[in-house]
Amino acid sequence: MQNKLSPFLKTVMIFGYAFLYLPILTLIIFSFNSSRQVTVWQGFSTRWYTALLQDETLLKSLLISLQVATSAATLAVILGTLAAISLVRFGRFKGRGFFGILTTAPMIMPEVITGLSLLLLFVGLEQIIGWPHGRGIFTITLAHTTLCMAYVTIVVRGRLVDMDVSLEEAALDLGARPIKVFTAIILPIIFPALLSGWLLAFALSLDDLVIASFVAGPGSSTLPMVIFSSIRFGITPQINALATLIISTVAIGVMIAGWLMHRNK
Amino acid sequence: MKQKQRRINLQPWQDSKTKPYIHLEGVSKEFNGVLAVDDVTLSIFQEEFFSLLGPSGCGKTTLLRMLAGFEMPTKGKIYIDGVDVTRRPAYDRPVNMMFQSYALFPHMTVEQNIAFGLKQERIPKTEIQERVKEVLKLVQMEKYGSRAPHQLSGGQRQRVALARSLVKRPKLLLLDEPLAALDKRLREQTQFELVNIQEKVGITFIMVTHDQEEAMTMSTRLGVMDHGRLRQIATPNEVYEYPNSEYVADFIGSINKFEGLVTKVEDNHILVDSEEAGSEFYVGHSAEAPVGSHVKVAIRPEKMMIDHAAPNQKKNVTKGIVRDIGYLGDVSIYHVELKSGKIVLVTQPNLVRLAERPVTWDDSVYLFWRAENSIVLTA
Amino acid sequence: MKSILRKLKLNFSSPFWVTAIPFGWLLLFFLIPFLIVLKISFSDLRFGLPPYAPLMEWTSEGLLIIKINLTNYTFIGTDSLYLFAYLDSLTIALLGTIGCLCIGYPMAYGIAKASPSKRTILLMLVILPFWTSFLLRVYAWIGILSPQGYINTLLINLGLISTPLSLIDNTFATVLGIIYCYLPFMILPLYAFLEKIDYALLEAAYDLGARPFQAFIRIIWPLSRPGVIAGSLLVFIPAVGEFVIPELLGGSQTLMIGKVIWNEFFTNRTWPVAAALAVIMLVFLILPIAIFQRYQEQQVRFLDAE
Repeated sequence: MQNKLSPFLKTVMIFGYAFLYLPILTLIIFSFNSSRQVTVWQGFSTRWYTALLQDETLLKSLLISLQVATSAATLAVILGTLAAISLVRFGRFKGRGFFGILTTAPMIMPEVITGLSLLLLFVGLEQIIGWPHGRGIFTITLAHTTLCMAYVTIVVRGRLVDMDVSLEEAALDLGARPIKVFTAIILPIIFPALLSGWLLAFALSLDDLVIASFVAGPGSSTLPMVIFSSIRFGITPQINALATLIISTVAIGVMIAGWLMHRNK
Repeated sequence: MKQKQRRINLQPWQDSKTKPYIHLEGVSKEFNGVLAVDDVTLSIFQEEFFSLLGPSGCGKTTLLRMLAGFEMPTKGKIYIDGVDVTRRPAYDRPVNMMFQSYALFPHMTVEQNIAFGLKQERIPKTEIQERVKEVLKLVQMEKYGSRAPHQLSGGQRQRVALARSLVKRPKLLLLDEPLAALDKRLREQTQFELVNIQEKVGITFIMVTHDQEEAMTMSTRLGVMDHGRLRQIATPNEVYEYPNSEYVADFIGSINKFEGLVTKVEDNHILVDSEEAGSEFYVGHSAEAPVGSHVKVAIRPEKMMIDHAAPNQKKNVTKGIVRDIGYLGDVSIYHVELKSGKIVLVTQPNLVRLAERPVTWDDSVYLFWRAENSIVLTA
Repeated sequence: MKSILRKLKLNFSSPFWVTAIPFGWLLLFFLIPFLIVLKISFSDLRFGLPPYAPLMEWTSEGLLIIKINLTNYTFIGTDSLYLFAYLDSLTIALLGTIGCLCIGYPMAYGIAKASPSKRTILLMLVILPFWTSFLLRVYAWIGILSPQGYINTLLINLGLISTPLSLIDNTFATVLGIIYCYLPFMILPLYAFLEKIDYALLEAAYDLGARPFQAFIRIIWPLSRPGVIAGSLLVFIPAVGEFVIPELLGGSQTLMIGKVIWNEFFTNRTWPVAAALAVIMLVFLILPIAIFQRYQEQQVRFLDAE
């Protein structure tokens, strides 16, 4: 039975969704404005998209961001899955509570603290053991992996909790060794969670400004860092065009994912 | 037909020369200081259908999981076909299990599910196909090989789970509440099918259940468990007719119990005087109870007769008033209050229609029973 | 040697490594860095790179000297700017959290009560902005709120005002930005709890004579409270340390502590002071984080809401 929504609820929901989407909508609309004055509409144009494609700093930073996001998401999925399995399947081991706290803490920790502390770690390590040498793509990847693995752990953990333990036992019972149980049973069943964990990690890494700013080195500016330095001083239609591209990519991605999930059901 | 015949005659547990096929020797399992299974010694013979019966938390599932290799005993040894398998992991035992939830792999078809176990043995593909086909036929699921588990009904899933655990031809098949997820009608029908399949394949079955009816109809023998201990191991008939303890008597079916004093013990009978029953019992078997000791005498409700007229016997008879009648269609349950205030249950088949029933509310009646139908409970 | 290896369970398929690898990673890249922050917050400021003096030094006699230097903390204590930054951060984060709750609760409730097919779409619409760039969503508000922005342009063209309203570069814009960016974090855990509630309970309450408002206060609100707590902390904790929103929307007068740390670090290059500021912020946040951890078991699933 579905209750009819009260007028109050309906109003709040319409207002809430408008609140969420109107700002994004303005970005998209004014990305097609021919004027440099972003707030005054002067006619349709795609000149900002062309300008975007010629902006080499931006394109280079995009490449760096994609590179970092791909490796950080992959690493985060591996580490997060291992962490989730430990938390869900190994019962009560020594230090489990502490480990549990440690796995989710990066998610809520203010980014300024995470960024600062990781930078101090990298500086300290370099002083003591000479590794990592300098800072750049590599250190950003390590930092993003740490941040993203918290999210992956949560997503994968939810899936594992839902998974019937007797499926694993059945596989063992039918003669599969633990490694085989993992590859033939657990992995395919939690695969959707791994995929959504990977995508989430990828999006988070692509989006992060604060942590990356702390641990980046010269010549390793990520896309958000370049965007930030250009919008700090006001709005430019070129960034609107970029925002439109990012938003539509994500929207299409989410729709495809939704459609795939719907079809699988 | 031949096999059926053999099954009836097959009572290896009575032959001291037969070697047990499955043997548990003093097996205990402790979880955080709590004994889930307490010193269980049990022998099960080839081709038996053995049931572990008991309320939830009695340790029956833990015992089953130790046989499967999912839990390691804290103490004791487990032998299968003469081999000590106590420390062997689950994937290295000639044992397969059918899970209560069926545990069908959701990302595989019915055929892939069944073939999974054979693939682990690296059996050639053609043989795998053959054996899968064969076992699907056995459980009458030939048409559903390419379906996914979520496209099957509960009964069909149960068959696939059975097929998957049978296809490896294990020495021992474990069934964890195999019928619990089915509705009542389907469950009754499946009980017989399961027994038929077991007879056909000749694999030793051990089933865990909390449903006594299921255990009674399906098993060659059953073990009643309570608080981690095996209270009685016997055929369904023996457990019902000759429970060795009050616990077993109460757990299986309903039973009337009377306290009494032993007045005479002979080789083939025993006399018990019971004030509670308002009667002297002449019990048609002996028991290890000295004269003057307090015992309980038990009688099943359907073993009691009820009538207005006094029977022609001085012993094994008492009087009471009908307080309540439960009409179940095929039988009626009479609640008869004795002089001592004790309420006795008597079941009688409804030979005539309800309106013509001779005994009714507030009637004064005689209850009587035959000497061999009462049991002396000493434990 | 072999026996030691066996003792350490150096076998990569064993459960030991499944736990040890992520655990080790988190120790190295999450826990130890905090200890370093703590250490450096007690160090002297020094010119050069890194701009701090080592905490431990070997004297010429071979003695290990550990210098605990409280200068950074006393410095922070004497400058009221830092105190105001902390107070501002907590106030703004609190206002943002309340704002998120006021909008997020009815929305989550509405989504939970919608028909299953609509529910999926409504939920996806909440998650979608979360996947798009945080930075660009904050940026969108500059265009809306700035003196030449859409709102002011619209109001001036309508003749309602003659000079632009100052909507940006203040606390209001910062709180608005926080509500906007963190709203999904509030709605998702709330929804996870509201969706689990059996709405027959409401009918039972009506049947027993409760009015809708009473029924809500007595039944739905208490049952959804874990979601309220989880969601509020999920907004509040990161919001306290927020940098991007106050930087872009708050202007020079909004001094949130995240921004102060950033400036100490990047502009003034006073690393030990930045570290001490971070340590103090963490002290403020330890209680909320501890409460949040208690709820993490229950809210483990909300991110997976599909």
